[in-house]
Amino acid sequence: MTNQPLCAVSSLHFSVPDLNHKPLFGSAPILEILKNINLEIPRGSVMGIVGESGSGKSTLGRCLVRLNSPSEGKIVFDGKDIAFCGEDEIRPLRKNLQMIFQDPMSSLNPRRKIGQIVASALVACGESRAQAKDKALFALDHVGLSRDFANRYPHQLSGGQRQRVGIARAIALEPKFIVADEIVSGLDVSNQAQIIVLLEKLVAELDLTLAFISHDLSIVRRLCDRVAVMRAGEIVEQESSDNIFKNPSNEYTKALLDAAPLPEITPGWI
Amino acid sequence: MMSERPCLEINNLSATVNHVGERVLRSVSLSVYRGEVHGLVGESGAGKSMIGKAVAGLLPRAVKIIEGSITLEGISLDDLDEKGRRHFLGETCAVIPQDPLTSLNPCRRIEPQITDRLIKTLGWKKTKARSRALELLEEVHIREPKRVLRAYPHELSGGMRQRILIASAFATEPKLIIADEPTTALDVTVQKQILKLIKEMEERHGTAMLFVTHDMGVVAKICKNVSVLYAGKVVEQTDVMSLFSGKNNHPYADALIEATPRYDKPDHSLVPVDVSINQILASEILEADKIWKGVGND
Repeated sequence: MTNQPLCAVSSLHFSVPDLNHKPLFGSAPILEILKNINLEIPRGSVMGIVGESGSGKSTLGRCLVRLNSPSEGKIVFDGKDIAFCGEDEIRPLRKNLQMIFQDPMSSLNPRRKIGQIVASALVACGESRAQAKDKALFALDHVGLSRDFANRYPHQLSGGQRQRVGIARAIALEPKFIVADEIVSGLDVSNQAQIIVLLEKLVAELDLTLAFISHDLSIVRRLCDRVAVMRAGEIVEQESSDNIFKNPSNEYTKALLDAAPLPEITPGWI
Repeated sequence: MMSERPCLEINNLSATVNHVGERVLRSVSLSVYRGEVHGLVGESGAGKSMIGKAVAGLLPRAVKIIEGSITLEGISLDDLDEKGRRHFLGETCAVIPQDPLTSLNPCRRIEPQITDRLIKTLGWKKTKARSRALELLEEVHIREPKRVLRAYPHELSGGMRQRILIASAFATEPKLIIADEPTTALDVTVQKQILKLIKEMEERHGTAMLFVTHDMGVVAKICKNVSVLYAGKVVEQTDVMSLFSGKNNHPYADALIEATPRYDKPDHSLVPVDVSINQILASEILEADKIWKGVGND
């Protein structure tokens, strides 16, 4: 393997027209969501992206897998700049760029069985139906769901199980890179712990590179090798996980750390 | 202090879902005093919200209370008829719902959503209700309260909407507030502000509070007493000091604390609730059900 990072983002900008302030005539003013993002994600690492809501962390995640098209800058994935390439150019790469969404209930089709949901991504990538079925079942095994889950519908599953289906769908394609957008924030602690342990296992077994978007610093500390702290569309601090949690240099990072409630009594925290 | 009458007293409360025999609440007893925050923790499906809903009379139609009593400010809710209960609850009890995105009517401005209760339940004049709403928005630290009163929910951020729900919960100066996961949908910085605000309001108004959450971190910061629930049964009831000192706890309570990741201890092994603990819990539940059925057959 080369030492080149799997995904390198340089001076990335993303802006949308601000329709709330559009004058009656003429074009709407430009609203900058992401400003000059520089980020390198080494192969086999887990990159944490943290920040408060509205800081642009999800938008960045969607840009990384090209669900959003940036307005400026470069996204070099595996040696190829994908920032501006067209849909037919990116299609073959999609297999390697997967995303797990925050809310499994709205990202799984309620009218399809779990097996179909996981297999459809494989079929779309050109696998035969039989092969897709095998691989889908294998992916379900991997995330700790027994095979009879393939015949159930999303509403028959608990929140934690649904999130496992989301993970199974992403890993079924054996991608190189996965963006996980707030995937544990809707779960309770025990389920959260299970999903985190599962992700750790998968990253080690499948040689995955993961961008983990979260606002929960405790989880990020646990899972990530490097952390980027975002605020108002900019990365304010980017460090190795050890450094950032031991000596945060940025004021905002300190505030974030301070705000995360630890399960212990601290008088005067509030 | 202890001789004081509790604001909310739940005694031996059990509930079932209509068509299934199994209980969703299993003989729950707890009491909350004035100026005290009582935490209800547990995994999803443990019935923590169900208790809050039972008190507020918001249970889904399929769920029926089969035994036990709820006493609020010394008045048993069973003694009141439907209309009387509604009035009584409207005055003494308020709910802060979980999801600020769906709990406000998107088609109405903020002002009527706060003042409706004051006008309809308490019979206030519109002008008085409006000035109270303004006062409340200032109390929850909303800048430009006049503008916000005229705004629609979609114009406000999640934190702002949650503040509005808190303001409207305190509007009638209720004796009891049921906060159903009020910070779960928010990120950490906003969560801290909201917790601070709830604590501040709670101290200023001396309200008793039932605080439903699954986050042990939040429990440690805001609650005085806590009930840990599993499958609708209270498995541990204690004050937070002894809960987090880690002595004499039910193993499930410890397991929940262990399952909470913490940024200051990265090597702390993260254990999901263990199978053996689930077995202990299952046998306890079975035992409780046996006793209960024995009582029921008499």
